[in-house]
Amino acid sequence: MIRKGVGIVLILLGSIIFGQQAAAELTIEIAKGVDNPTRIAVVPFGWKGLGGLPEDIAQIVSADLLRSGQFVALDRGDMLSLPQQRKEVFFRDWRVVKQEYLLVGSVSPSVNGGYRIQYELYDVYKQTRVLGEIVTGGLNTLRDVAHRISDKVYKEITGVEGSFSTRIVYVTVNRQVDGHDLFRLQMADADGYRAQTILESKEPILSPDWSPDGKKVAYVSFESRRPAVYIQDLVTGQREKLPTYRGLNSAPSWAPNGKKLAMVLSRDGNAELYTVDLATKALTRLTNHFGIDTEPSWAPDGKSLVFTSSRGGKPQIYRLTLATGKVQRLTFEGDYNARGRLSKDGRFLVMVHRRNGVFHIAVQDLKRGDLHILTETKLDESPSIAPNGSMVIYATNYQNKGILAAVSVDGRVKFRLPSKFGEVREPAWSPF
Amino acid sequence: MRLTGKGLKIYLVPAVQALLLHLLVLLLFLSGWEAKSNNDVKPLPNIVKARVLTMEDPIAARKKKEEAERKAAAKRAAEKKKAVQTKQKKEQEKRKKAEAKRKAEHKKLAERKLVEAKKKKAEQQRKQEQAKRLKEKQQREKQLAEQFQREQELEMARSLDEESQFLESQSDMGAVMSYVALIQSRVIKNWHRPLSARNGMQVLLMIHLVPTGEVNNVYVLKGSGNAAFDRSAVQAVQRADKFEELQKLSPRQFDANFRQFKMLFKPEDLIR
Repeated sequence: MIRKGVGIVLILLGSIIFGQQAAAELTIEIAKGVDNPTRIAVVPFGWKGLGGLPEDIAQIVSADLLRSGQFVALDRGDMLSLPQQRKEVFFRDWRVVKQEYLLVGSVSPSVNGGYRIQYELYDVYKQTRVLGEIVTGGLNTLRDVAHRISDKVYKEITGVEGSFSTRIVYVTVNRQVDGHDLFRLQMADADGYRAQTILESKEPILSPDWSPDGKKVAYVSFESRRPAVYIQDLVTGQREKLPTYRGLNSAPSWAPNGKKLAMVLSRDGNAELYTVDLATKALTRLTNHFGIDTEPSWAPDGKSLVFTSSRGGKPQIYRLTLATGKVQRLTFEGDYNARGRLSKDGRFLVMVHRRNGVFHIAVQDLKRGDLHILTETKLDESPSIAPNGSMVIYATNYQNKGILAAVSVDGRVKFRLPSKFGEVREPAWSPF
Repeated sequence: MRLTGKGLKIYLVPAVQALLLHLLVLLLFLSGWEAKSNNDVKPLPNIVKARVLTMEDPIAARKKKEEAERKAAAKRAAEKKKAVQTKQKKEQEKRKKAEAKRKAEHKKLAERKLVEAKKKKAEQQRKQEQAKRLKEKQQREKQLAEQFQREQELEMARSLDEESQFLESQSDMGAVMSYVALIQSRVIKNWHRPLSARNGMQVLLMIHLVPTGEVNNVYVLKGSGNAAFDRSAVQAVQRADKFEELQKLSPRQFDANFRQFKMLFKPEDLIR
């Protein structure tokens, strides 16, 4: 007998949406983004006094924000209006040119000959004020005011502390007419402006390093014909020479608590790491290895140091844990990794990395272990991380001249710092 | 110590044990002990409801029944024919006998004939009744079959209805999913995460749309604790501005899904 049966299988597919439709509404998940720089219009600040303004605050702010890599500033020529306060703002004008934020402000002379600066930051889409302040400044502090505004805007929008009000120190070398080199230790704003000379010498100056409070700088000077570590107060100009030892006295690095310096001495014949207590000048030897140990730099928590060592044959970066004295190798990619610097959160190690015979600045994520090359230029050296961890300043070669350049830690933005001087070397970014 | 035969024997058992253990370990390593791949496969968010309906073809069932009935009827007819044939033979013989005895038994014959006729009539009646009963039975069976078929058809119709409902919801869901994907991609394109954003941060927004697809209102339902991060999410929606494709949805679909909905911003692709 023929038994013919027809089976119909119904599969009822219920998605999350339909499964929950009755109970709750739709929830769309967004797990990605594009991270384009934020678009901001910094409208030229109005000036209510006589004559011209000594500084274009809006210009300084927009240059600051642009350099951070987190922002694109609207060209002034593309602004449909130039408001200076809320009642002059038509948000539509700024939406049309696709701006996310709008910074407006004005400067007026204050009674004591200074300036009164008023500024406001608007969220163009929400049409609300997110920031507003009145600050005062003198003729010589208008740039400081501008950088402070940049810091505030940056913090508000990115959620990260801005480092526009910080400074950098670096060494310049100029060939004199008499054929001798003149070395200068310079200090400038983070944008390279307002450079001033801290020390001038006919002998080399090396390895400047900021004290954690930003008030002093330690460096190596050969002014006495032999290398010695000096500490100089930036406000008073007062200098202190640390006791010197036979051989190398180099690469000072300030401990995060400000009470010690790590440095390299070769008084026992081989370059080893030491710490010197700044109050007692007592030495503590940290390493003992026939390889060369140099370029110490403290981890932000002060519990360990990273340093360069040739103990594995080629220069690589190691970490020394102070409590245990244990040494652990951190870098494994490439045959040359040196001058390591840790980011403030301790997660990223910035270094000089050689690949195919070319020196680059690279950053290694110590959590994930991956290494990114940040710069494509040659002879990149001496990286120093901004206190907010967003940028790395380094020395490089441009048109056969040593210059300073900076790159964002994500490698997205690079820029060269202006310099009037010939060769520029060994930049160090100040703390906050 | 010298190892005699006996001495070796002492070590034989442990040695064999050790060897076996090693073999076991080796076997384990070779066979099953692979490192489990830690694939982070997300389960599909689909709830699968399956329903199986099995049904007989009513036509086939009916045919089957009819076939059986036809066979039974044929069998019955053959039997009847055979009976009639033998009867005829007997009657012939009887007639011959009767011819011989006719004269003598003329009267008797007449009586007998009468009885015979009566018998025949009864027989016929009986046959008629039988046929009638058969017909009734057939009719009843036919009714039953029809009823069965009707039920089957009803059931079929019901399942077809379910299926079409399912297909409708399926296309509904497909439409909703495609618009969800569209909204997602547009918001993703417009989401510029601030520097302080980290994987694992979450902000839940409530979004109100009008049927033209325009964003009517966006606000934070549950913030991340990082104002810059939360604002970046709100701005991403505001910057996406308008989802005009939603105009193609039916008002029912729009109201059910997009008049207001939640959006969870939860970065997973950041390097920091």
